[in-house]
Amino acid sequence: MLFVALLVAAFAPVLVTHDPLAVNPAEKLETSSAKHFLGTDFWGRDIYSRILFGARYSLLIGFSAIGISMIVGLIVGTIAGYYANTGIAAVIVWITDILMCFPTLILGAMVAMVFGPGLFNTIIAIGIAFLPRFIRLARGNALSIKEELFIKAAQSIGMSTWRLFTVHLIPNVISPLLVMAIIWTSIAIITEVGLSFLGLGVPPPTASWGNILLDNLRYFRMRPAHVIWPSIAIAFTVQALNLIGDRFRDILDPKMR
Amino acid sequence: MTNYIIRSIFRTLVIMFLVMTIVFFVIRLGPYDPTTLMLGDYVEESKIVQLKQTLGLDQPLYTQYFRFLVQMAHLNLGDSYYSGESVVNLLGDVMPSTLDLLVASLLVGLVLGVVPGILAATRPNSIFDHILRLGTLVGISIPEFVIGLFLIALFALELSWFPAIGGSGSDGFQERLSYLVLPAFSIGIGMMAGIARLTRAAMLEILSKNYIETARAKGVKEVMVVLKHGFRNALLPLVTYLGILINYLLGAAVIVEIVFTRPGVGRLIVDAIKNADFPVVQLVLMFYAGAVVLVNLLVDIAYCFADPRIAYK
Repeated sequence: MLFVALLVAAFAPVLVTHDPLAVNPAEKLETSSAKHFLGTDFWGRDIYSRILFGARYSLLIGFSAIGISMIVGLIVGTIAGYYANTGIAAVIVWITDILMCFPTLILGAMVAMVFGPGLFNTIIAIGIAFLPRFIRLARGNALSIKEELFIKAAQSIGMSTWRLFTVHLIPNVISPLLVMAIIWTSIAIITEVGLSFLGLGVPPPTASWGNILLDNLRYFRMRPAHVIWPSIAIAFTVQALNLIGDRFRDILDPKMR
Repeated sequence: MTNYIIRSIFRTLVIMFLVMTIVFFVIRLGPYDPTTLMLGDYVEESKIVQLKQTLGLDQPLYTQYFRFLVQMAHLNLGDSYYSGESVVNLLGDVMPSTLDLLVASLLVGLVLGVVPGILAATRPNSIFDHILRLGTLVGISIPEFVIGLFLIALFALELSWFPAIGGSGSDGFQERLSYLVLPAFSIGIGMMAGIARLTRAAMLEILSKNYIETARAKGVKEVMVVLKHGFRNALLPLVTYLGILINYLLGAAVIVEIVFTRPGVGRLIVDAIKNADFPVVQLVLMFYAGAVVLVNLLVDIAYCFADPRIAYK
């Protein structure tokens, strides 16, 4: 089941090139499933293609945002953990605490407000929204790892801090982060959908899953399928990511012992 | 114990103050300019300048901040740029609706989550257990608005059991309740999965402990063993989870409010962001942060009652 989900989620970007890429064809009004597999929306755009395109955007945003967040969070968190009782660690912890005060969606909305709408900005917004989680995780791990014998050994032979970090600290801190990253990617995608749904994410003509939901919500009574299908797509992807993440967690845990 | 509580409260206040400051600066750094949004694109320069002066937006940021602090000290939280109403009034109008939703969702989530969780733990590896585990896996994945839409389609449009849209002010209790059902269930079902999972895991671990065996040996009825001795210990991780859950709950409430067209804080802030209505955005953001911080504070305090060892750290 895991593999199937993985494949489908991965296929989406490939399948896109397969189909009517024309996201804005002639202005037909709302017809339902005929030559267009899942129907067309109010402006005559093919829902099926939009969903596939949307997959691209949503996945792209999800993965990049989490990727950036993870890398930055890893570095910042490890620093905060390693230099535990110093000023800079305290500052980092305070900032993280403050960021964690806001619900994820609201934080994303706030950052979106600062940077404005747009693909890149949305990635930044979601990245920042997840940053505190990664920092916390990395810091926690760094705190416990820095007490390990091999770290102390490395310090005692006078290893340069840079080398200590890159060769010893970070590779050991990173594994739980990777696991959570996958699980949080699913949440990131939901957050992106939420942001676009609220009008704060990817701007309208572009097809992102949230936008599709937003556009078609008005016509829900008439064509409920138009909203149901993107929702299924979202749920499926999220499910796939969660499964993968869970499986990773199981794999990494006992082996690490 | 009181020391711990006082320290927690103090920390909370400091954090709230920092949050307020950061929120203030952050929203004013963005590209959204309230004056252009209010007056439209075709108005002359002078009008814009005039409006900026009235609102005090032409001053350098630190001056604005200072005036803001002074204003706050007088407990005046400002008026909305958009509608001119006092921000507190706007929030107050809309708050009961959101609170209703939050509380109802929480209840639904808890009841639907805890009960199966306990049941699954007491019947490990039964068919029930497996169904639950599968269910939670699915439940965690489906975003809440999907459930919401589905529920609307089924219960409101097809069967007309519950209304789909609206849910304003305080019509009779019965009315409000019927408007609440679908939205609350949308969010509740989303939470149910996580709660059920947690309860089950916690209960499984607890039920294998020595003191449970002792209780049974003493002759305590099984129901009492499970509930009074077992579940009470599971409450602790559950309450901690609540702290995380509030985060999800608040976010989900925003989306559900829009899907169901309920009046609420979520809609208020979304509109305010679009209109670059700074005072409203500020207050609502602080409300959100405040809610999260408050819940976590309560969780911390509850923790120290539940496990007194914590207070001595």
